[in-house]
Amino acid sequence: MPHIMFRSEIRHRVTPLFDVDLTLSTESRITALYGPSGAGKTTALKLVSGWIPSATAVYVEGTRIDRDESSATVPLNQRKVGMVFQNDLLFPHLDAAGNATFARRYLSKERVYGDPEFAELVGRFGAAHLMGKPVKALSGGERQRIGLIRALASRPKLLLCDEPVGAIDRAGRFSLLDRLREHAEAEGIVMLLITHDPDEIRHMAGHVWHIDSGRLIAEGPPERFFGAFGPNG
Amino acid sequence: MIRLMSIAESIGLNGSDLTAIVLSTFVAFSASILVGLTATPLAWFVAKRPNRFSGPIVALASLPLVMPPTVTGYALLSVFGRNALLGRILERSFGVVLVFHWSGAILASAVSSFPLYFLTARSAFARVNPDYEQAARLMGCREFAVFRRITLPLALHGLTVAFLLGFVRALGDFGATLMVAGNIPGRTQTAALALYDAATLGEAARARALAALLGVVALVALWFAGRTPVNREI
Repeated sequence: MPHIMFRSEIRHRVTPLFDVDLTLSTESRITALYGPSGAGKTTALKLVSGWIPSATAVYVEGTRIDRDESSATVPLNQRKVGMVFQNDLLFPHLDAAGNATFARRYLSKERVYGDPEFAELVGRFGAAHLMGKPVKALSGGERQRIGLIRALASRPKLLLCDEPVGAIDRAGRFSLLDRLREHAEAEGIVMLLITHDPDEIRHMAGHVWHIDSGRLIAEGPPERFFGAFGPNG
Repeated sequence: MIRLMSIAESIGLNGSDLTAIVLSTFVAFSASILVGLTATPLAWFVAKRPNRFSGPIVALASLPLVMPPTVTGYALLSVFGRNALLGRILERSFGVVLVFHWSGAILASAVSSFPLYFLTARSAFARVNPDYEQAARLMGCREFAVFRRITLPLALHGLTVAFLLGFVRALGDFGATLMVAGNIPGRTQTAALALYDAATLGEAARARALAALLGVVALVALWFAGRTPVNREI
């Protein structure tokens, strides 16, 4: 059974070229979306999440998450989709802790600051020292860490990552991706990952969707696209 | 109180002027609260849920800004006067008479200051990046929680400016208040009306003191409004 699949039937004005019919490989829980700028990768994530309203059907682990049993649309706030944004979208009026706990506190109706599970998550991403800081005082990399924790703290079934480590230096990037993969595997999270870096794709993903002009033009294992040593090697 | 009276007299004001200043402050504050409670949801609706009714709503809500204040006052009398339908219902059901009463001054000031608050609040809500709101929905928030936890805090500086502008406008209302509440010293006479009395009676020192007082309050409020960082990226 595929981990996730979605079929878009939209002819949305915002995304006139987007026309997707994709099924995620059963081989990997992590799929990378690869393609040039403007190919429609971020739009794909927004369609999957429900951010952009559409007729897109989204299945996670064989269960449709955008419609309930009576075919009614599931509200965005009940889809259990976590999203890490390219521009982090940390709430500027909250501090790092307020952002990190935002979804978790709301979903579980409990104060999670101090909760051992949350503390472990914060520790895993090396962000304990950031918790009291205002968002404005965080560097780009620190903001992305908090964005990752915020998305994971909501206990998503599906995690959508739009260049989640783009602002972090190369050495730290792979360490953080390792922790992200460990967490996703431990929690059984299905992940869609956008990145421009073939090395990151090979490091993380078991499957690649190559998208261009809003269309899937190829899919397969990373080695098919980048070889064993990357696109130029 | 005696000391306050002596200070007032030293700058040319009399006891009735002090009552007018207190009444003005009370009326302006009450009107601002009333406007805040009614205009905030309307401004949010227009800014965040634009639809075919948005244009007419904005035009109607902004009307007192461009109409002669006497027209606003006359319109209020036509609706809330003792012989008007709503006025009769209020009097018979609740014993409330707005005409020639301080409550009428609150209503008139509220209507006059409504557009300033509404338009400023609408801009404040419109400046809130909708991506933050959509992200909050994705993180489990229902619509009211999105408003309470994201939209309202991010628009708060703009709403503070809206409140200050509305307060100053309500404090200085003249025409509509005169039409609805009259100009009864000690009962419905506000500072702006007392200033009119002083000027027409040729009491220059009294008029100068009242004008200066109203001017300084407005200046301080606008200074605070100018200091509020509404233009930061949100």
